[in-house]
Amino acid sequence: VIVDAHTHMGVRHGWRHEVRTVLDHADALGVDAVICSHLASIFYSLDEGNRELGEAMRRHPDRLHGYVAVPSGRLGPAAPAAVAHYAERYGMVGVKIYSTPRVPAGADRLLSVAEPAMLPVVETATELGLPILAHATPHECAWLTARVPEARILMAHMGGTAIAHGDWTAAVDTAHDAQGIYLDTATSTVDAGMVEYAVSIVGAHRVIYGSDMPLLEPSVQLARITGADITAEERALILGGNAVRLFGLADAS
Amino acid sequence: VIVDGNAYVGDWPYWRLPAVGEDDLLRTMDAHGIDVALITSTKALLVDALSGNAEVSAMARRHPDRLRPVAVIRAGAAAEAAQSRDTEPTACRLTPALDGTGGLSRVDDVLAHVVDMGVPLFLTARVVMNWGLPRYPVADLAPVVDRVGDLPVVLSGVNRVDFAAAADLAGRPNVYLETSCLQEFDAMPRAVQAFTSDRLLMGTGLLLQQASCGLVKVTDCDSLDPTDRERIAGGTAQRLFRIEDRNG
Repeated sequence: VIVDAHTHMGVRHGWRHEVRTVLDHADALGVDAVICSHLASIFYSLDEGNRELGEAMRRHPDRLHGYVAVPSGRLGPAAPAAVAHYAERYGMVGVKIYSTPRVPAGADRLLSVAEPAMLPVVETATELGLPILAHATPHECAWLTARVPEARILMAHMGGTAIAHGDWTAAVDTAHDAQGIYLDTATSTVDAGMVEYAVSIVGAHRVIYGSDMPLLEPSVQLARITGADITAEERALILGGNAVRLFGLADAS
Repeated sequence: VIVDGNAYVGDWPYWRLPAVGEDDLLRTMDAHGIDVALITSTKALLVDALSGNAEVSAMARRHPDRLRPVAVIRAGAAAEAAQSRDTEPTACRLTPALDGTGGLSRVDDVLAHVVDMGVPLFLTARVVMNWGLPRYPVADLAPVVDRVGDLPVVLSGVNRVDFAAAADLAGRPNVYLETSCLQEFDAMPRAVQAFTSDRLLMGTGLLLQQASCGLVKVTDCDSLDPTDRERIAGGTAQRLFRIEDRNG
């Protein structure tokens, strides 16, 4: 089973991503199921994107799973309420949160997920058994798990982002020290040895395949795993076994 | 023929590489079906251009059908550039973000040597697609293109941030693009649209980057037609660097 745990749909700044595009590419690569979040709810509206994604999930119940995206904890009680609502209404299997510390240019820290306002979201997700895909730095992920120790945080891009200064070694080391942190492999960084280092330090059971499609080229992202120097058992865990276990996808897959 | 237009060999201080030296390089190329690689020395990039260039030149002499040396040159270091001629490079590489010069001032004397040698010039925006390593904006590299006449120039290490600036230079027939840092969705068709496959070179960034990633984006790209795929994977590099098909 291959599960892509990091995909998107929606529109942002001229990029339009239809769910059909995501599923067509999944088909081409032999990906059985995807877990998707909607760009409108990551960056704009607590409800608009999540609702649209939920309806798309109903059209593709066997292979399209969803994250409830929360643009900010600063929206108050509506944010954790949305997590509970969309998880119940559409069966979404996780929550997506996103730090934008460099947006807009010139602002040092506009919206970080590592702030008290985000804790009710993380607590609600954890109570509901929903893992959280966090586009965040290793430090921010550690901040969250230190305050909600039972939370399961899937660190998007495993440090391979501008906000994390590309420091995937720090990401892996952070996950080593915090058992609730998992590593998402989706990143434009294709440094040699990156996946192998993650497996050697935290174990394959906490490394999860994601592509970030249709933002990144999915064939490249799959090649990061299929081309890594790891065992077949480790590869199977990363490509799907871990996601099935972490997100409770067994029945759907 | 598969040609890796952007490969590196040598030690690397930023993380532990699975493969480092000459034997590893050839093994990695074999494992991925890469026939020929243009190799740049990481020692030359990071500390010592003269000895690093000499090392890759020696490797290429030992494996003339597999390896082609790229000499690192630095702005303000005309004497180094002059000595690099002795290594008989297939191309030269300017990497202002990483070479300790802080930029491109006093580059004219160095460029004069490259023009005189008549070999293509790599202009490097970034060595690998890692957000933590230094980058030199393509827009700031552009003035170099104006100073080398019709010498072929290969924009190297371009990613989505720099792609628009690179595409702005695509109207010049001597400007090429290598693909090692293009990871975005549909990056290859957009690159073909801007440059045409006659001026696109597949680069993997091995041994610093995972070779399979650089390959699949070209060889498995369904939205490229077979002719474009063949050119990007090797045909363009064969023509540009005068690489013969060892299989005839």
